[in-house]
Amino acid sequence: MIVEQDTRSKEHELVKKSLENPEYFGEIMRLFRAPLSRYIRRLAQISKDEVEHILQDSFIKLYENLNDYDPELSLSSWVYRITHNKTIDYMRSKKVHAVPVGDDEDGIFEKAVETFNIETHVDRELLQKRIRHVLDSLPEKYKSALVLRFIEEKSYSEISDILKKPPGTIATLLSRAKEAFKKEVEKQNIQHTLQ
Amino acid sequence: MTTIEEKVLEEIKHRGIKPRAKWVFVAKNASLWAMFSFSLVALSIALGVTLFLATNTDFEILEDLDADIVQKTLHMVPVAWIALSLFFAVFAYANLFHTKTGYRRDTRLFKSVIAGAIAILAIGMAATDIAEKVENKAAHIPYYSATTPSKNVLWSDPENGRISGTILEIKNNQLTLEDPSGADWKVRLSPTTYDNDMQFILGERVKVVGKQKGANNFEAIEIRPW
Repeated sequence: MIVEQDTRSKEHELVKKSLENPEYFGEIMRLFRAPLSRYIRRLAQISKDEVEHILQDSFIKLYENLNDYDPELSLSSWVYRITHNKTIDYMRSKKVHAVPVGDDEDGIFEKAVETFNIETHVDRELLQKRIRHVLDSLPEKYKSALVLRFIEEKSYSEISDILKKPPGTIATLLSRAKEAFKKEVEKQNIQHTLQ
Repeated sequence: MTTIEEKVLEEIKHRGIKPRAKWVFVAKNASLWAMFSFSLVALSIALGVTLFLATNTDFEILEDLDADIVQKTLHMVPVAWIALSLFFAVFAYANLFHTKTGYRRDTRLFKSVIAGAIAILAIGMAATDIAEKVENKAAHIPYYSATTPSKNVLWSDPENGRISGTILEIKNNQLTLEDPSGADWKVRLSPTTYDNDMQFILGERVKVVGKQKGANNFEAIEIRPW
């Protein structure tokens, strides 16, 4: 708790300094550039240039809204929220289909197989390959929740702040998302077996 | 190679981007809370009028109405006020979620407190004459009567034997009433007129079932308290 308060006050200090001098804002960008890039890639199947474009837009919006920063919120949640919204807006405007890039970077698909406790009789390797397609086929709200919880490893409270949804509904959202994920996994596996 | 940070800082400098002033966010948030509060009050009024109309429906005359089932339903259900209540409920919810911290307040306790406050306000308005006054004002809106079971409208139908009004004068076998439109009616009482054991008092509003006899004359079969 003390560590958390300490982090919050440091973050608040960084935001205050950024308001006085944009160079300090560079520090915020350095802190979040890598995780946000990954997050955008995990949400949208887009090129590196597009990821960079969304990230730049997000940072500029962040800078314009520095005075809106709520110290009760972690800086990370606020930064993720803005980036999340920018990414979703971009996906909608370009009608981009969800989901990640190529290979199993960071072993996230392996992690997903563990996380969702997928039936052992199902071919693990096959499922790992298919998880990308499964996530792709889920509604955006489910996909966002799953990515934030199981790939970005955010807490319920952080997910609530990022998605701006009541904390009480996050558990339900995740539970439904997991159900939808499992159903889709089974469906796609059955289809494969029939082929 | 230029990093994203450098590109963004360059763009900030080049386009002269400045952080928006704090008051802009404070004002936006305050106006959202104000809209939320306004929506709750409006919702309470709409529910109050709905309650008032629901408890004042003259079910006994519905059978006599020359109307189809849809029209009779409209006479019983205050559709417009229910729709208005729903609109303000959605509007309140939308405003709450656009505030900075509204999403965090969507707890059972918060919802219970708000629902309780709305219920108290609505019942209070229906029990006092506030809801009735609001309803009377709304009755002037065009097409209002087509969507709302207005007691005024139901009891302003002399051709079908129903009028209402405030007692202006009491004579032995005649009452003079002023109806809601301001017209005077001479209401003749006969020994067979059923008066529900009422004591007629000047300024009191009554409903009359009977027959129209000429332009502003009415023969009463039954007189009921408003």
